Amino acid sequence: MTDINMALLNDFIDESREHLDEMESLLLKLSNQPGNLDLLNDIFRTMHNVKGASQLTGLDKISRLSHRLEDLLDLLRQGSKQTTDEIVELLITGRDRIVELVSELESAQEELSSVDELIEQLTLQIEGGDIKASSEASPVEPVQESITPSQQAASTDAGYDEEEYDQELFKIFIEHLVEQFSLLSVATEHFKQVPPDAEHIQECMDAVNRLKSSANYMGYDELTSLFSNWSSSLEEAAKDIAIGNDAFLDFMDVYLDDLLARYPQLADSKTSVYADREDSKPAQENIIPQEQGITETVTPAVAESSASAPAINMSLINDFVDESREHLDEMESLLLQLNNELGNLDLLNDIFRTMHNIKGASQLTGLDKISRLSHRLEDLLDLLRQGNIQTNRVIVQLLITGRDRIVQLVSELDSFEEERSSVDELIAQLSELISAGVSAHVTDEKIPGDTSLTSNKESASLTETNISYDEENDKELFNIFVDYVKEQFSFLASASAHFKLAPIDKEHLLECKDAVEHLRSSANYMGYDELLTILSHWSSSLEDSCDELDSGEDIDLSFMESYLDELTRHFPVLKDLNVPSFDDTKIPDKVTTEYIPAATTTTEDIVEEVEEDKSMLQKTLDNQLFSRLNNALDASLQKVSDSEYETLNNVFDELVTPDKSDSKNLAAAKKNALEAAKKLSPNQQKTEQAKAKEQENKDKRIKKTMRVDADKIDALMNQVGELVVDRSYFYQLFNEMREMQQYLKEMVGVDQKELKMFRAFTYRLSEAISSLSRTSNELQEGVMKMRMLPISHLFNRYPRLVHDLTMNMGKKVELVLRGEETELDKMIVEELSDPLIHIIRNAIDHGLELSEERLRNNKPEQGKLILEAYQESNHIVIEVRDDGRGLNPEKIKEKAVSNGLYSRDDVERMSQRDVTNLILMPGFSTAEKITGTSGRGVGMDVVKKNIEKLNGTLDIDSIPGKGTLMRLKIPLTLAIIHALMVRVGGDMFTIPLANVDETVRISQNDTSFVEGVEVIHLRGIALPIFRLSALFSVKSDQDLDKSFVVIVNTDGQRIGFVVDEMLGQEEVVIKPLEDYVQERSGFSGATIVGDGRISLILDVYELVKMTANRQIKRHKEQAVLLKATKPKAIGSSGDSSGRLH
Amino acid sequence: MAETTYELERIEDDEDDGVVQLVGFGIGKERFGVDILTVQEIIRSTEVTPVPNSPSFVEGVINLRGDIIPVIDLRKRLSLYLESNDIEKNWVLILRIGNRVVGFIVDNVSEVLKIAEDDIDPPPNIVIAGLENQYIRGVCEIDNKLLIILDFESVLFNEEYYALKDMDFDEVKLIEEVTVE
Repeated sequence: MTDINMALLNDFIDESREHLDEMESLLLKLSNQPGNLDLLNDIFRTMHNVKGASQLTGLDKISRLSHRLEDLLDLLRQGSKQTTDEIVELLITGRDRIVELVSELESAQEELSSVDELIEQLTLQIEGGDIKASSEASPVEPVQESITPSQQAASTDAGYDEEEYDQELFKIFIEHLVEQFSLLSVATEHFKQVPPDAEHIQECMDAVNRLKSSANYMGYDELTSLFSNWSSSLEEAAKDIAIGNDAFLDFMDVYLDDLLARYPQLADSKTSVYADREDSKPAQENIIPQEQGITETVTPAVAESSASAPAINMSLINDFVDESREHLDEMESLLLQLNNELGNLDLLNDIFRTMHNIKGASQLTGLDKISRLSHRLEDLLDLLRQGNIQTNRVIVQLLITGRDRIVQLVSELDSFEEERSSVDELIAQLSELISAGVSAHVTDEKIPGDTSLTSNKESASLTETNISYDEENDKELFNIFVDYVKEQFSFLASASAHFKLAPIDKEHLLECKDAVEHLRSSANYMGYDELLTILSHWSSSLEDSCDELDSGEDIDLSFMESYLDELTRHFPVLKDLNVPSFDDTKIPDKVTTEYIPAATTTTEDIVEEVEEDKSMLQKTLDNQLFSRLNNALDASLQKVSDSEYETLNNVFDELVTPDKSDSKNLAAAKKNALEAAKKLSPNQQKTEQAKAKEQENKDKRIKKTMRVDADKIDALMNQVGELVVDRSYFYQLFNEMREMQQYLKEMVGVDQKELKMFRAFTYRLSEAISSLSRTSNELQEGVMKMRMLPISHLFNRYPRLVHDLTMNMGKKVELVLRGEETELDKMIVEELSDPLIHIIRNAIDHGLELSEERLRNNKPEQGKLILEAYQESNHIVIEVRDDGRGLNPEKIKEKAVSNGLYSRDDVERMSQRDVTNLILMPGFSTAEKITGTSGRGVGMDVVKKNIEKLNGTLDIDSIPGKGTLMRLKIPLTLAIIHALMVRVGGDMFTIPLANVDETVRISQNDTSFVEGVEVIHLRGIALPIFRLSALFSVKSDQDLDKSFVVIVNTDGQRIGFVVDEMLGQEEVVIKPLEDYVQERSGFSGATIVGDGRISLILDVYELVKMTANRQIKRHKEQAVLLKATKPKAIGSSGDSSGRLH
Repeated sequence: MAETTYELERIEDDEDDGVVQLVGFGIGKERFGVDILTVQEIIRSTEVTPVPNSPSFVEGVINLRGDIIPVIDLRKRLSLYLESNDIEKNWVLILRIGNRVVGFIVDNVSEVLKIAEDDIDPPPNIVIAGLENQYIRGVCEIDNKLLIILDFESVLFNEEYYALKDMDFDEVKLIEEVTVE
């Protein structure tokens, strides 16, 4: 494992960074709440992920270190070691070392830093812990249970079941498989007891063929060939029987075992079928020995069918690991939520669902332990969500432990490609709980949707039936089906009893046949093939009987009993119904109760009456079933309102009652149906909600897994930029067209009529353009959003920074993050990182006072640092606010003077704002002493520079004694900016709107010269103005009496640029200029305007600097010339950003 | 002759036995040639947007199908004080030099010339047409006229011209930064 897998390295770096970031914030939280178990678990999990990934990638040092850290964490979360500050510090150090190693990996592709001394420390800590825990603590137990080398060898064939397949499809397939499998295993059992007959074998063959075709459909070649072998074996057996030979059907078992080895989930169905047959034992208890039996049989099965039965499908493991991690993460948060809201059914459903997914995937991948464990967990969850077991914290804890174990197994898979940890003791615990739940549940009547009908004893077995028949299907639907089966069954049972006593007449038989047919169609509807077969046989038997009756033969109806028995076997619920307990049946009570005595008294006329009633019953039943089924369906699709029930029922009226005679009964039935449907609706709504949630989660998952090359997005962004340009081109064409229209009208004098066509066309063009601009706007926004990251990526780095800084200085600071979800361009996020670090450092170092000082000033002991982000039109504003001592203007002034930056007079003349902005100058620091963190006087000028590079602005607002606010305003994206287009002479220039404060019109009289600089007086403040024409040596055609001034704000100062004309605001795409063109030209780039011309984008910051430099140069020259008596003659604020010599 | 330079090697790969294809162009009466492989396209001079404060020989930028490309007046760049016959009918050679695309304004463009490697002589140690030989890769004689094969890499990247930049800025440091190129 010492070779670093280079292919994986990049992924590892990305992934581990994420984990490490998460871990950092968790660790910092932990240092505040040392006892928090959730935190420890989370940290453990992330550490575990890092460990797993590092092992997979073959990173020796990281994996060793993280393994040790994980051990320590395990001790901590088991409580065998106290979480102390020292340990947290050690953990943080450990994390940092991993971060370091990861960075080394990125830059040098190898792990350079040593980890040994840290590992030693960790080992010391671990051994210092409770010895008792250490046996459990070691997370990787070298358990080699059921995975034999042969399995691993066999596992290379990845022929069937591919993960890419639609999960839904796979589920359906598995369902189908489970059904057919139980049929087949029943048949096999049957063959063992009774000599096989051709018909049964034919049935089996049918089942196998069905399986074959679905396996074929799923593309599982191996399975398909297995099934076709099986089928041909059966065919031979059938032939043997046909010619009177004894058929060997041992192969059935072999095939079944083979199937079982591939799909361990089949074990349940097998078990439940067995359990049903044995009737007596609580079925749940059976599963455990059975399952264990299965694990044992896996190996022989492999040996028997040499080519098949992969234990772990290696090709699927990676997919499984990825997928299950997502599920497990989701489950974790759900479980933690559940811990707080114990009774929340939605949560339970969600957890059940994720667990189910894991189960399915693990079975698919052939992961014995995970599938066994998850299966058990799923069982428990099922009981919980049905309310058979009360959810309590112990159970939740057990679930969490179960989840953790799966996580562990998954990581083991990731790193060793096998499941090492043992799950048996957990499974035992779970089984105990489940069996306890089942027995406890005898006194419990809460089975959803079935309350009135099911007696207590049945419910246990009903649950069992649910499992065998109906794991995926809608529970509601299933319950309805069971209800219906019960009703029909009781009718048939009574009829059967009746036949025994009374002479058989055809009508009765036909009625029975009808009942059976109805059952058959609903079985068909539910997709229960096995039932379907039985019922169709039954139906045909009855038809035969009818024929026989017609021909006057004596008929034997004993088959009725056997079919009834068979039905009972499938639905143990029905057993109790044999004893007519119809009182509970809430659907047409009267009718059924009347029928029973009728059946027993066997009087001819009563029979007639019964017939009538019965047909009514039949109809009502049909009606009811149909409506309920439909309602259930409907409800699962949409929220059902009462009015919809009505319409539904109306439809039914039309459907079921062509003759009006039964309308009364139907009305009653309708009412019943309505009530029933209403009763069902809350549950249905829940199901619907759960479904919606599932959908949501699916969406979420897709979102999570999108990773796109940044270059691709940039390319797209460029294209979109072009589109934006094209759009303005179109707009320009439209304008030209309008002008032409005007021209035609006025100059050429074209007739109104002829002009009308032209106008219509112009109008249509404008429509087309607005449509185009809408689309392109959306596209632009969409692409921009693709580049967007939530600012939490940035913010989450700072808790650590604050933690470290405050530790160093012994200050108490609370960091509050707000608006972390605000999104901005990824590139900007990265560019902002350093400036923010500077600002935060300054706030903590200079702004926030020591505890004593704070207390003295009547401030809370703990300082507050608020980091807030929000969007303001197309800008993101980031505020860093502290409640410290604020900036001291006097100190700043003094410093400015003593640094020789300004004269005393200069600073005294400065406004508060200018004074505050002095701290943005290079080499400016007011701190008395240089500390480890800041104070060297570099920082704020860099901050300012970085932010202006992003076309952003930085504002400082400070109240002495109260605190400081740093306000960063950054455009959402770098590629497209809002800008003000201006004209100077024949050239067009673009001024980023971010820099523009306001625009004013001035006349010659408004300007005056102060120390050689042209200024205007705006609201009492002198504002230096510069003529762009002069700056750019462009000929200006401007009328001196009517100039426009664009007042820009950069560097915290305001300057006016005089332009010839304002052309309006536009969104422009920034195109870079070649370096030698751009360098010190005062432009940050160029853009192409609608008509294809180029407009240069002003780099306001640079331009102001340039002008300032020119001023200084001139002043110096003047100073030399005048041999000045005054040491320096400097212009007003226009110069303040310049550097002096 | 620098047989081993990248440019020539490439030419040899593409051409049979040391024949170089050159695009000929003229400034004033002087004839020049440039390796055809560096020529991306030749356009009629379009509207050039001047960039204030940029080096004086940078005529400005043009919009070439959505890309903004600087245009250099080769006459100014090479300080050729040769009279132009027709200012209005300029051509722009769009060359790809390294990773950069640059336009050079020339007076006229002639046919593609095929010249055997052997006919190319190293730059003479004298000044030709007021041109320093650091910009010349070689010369050859065609029709009794001297054809100067320019080395556009040094035309574009020669540090000397950065010094021409506006010296309003005080820091020498900045110049150093630029010349790292």
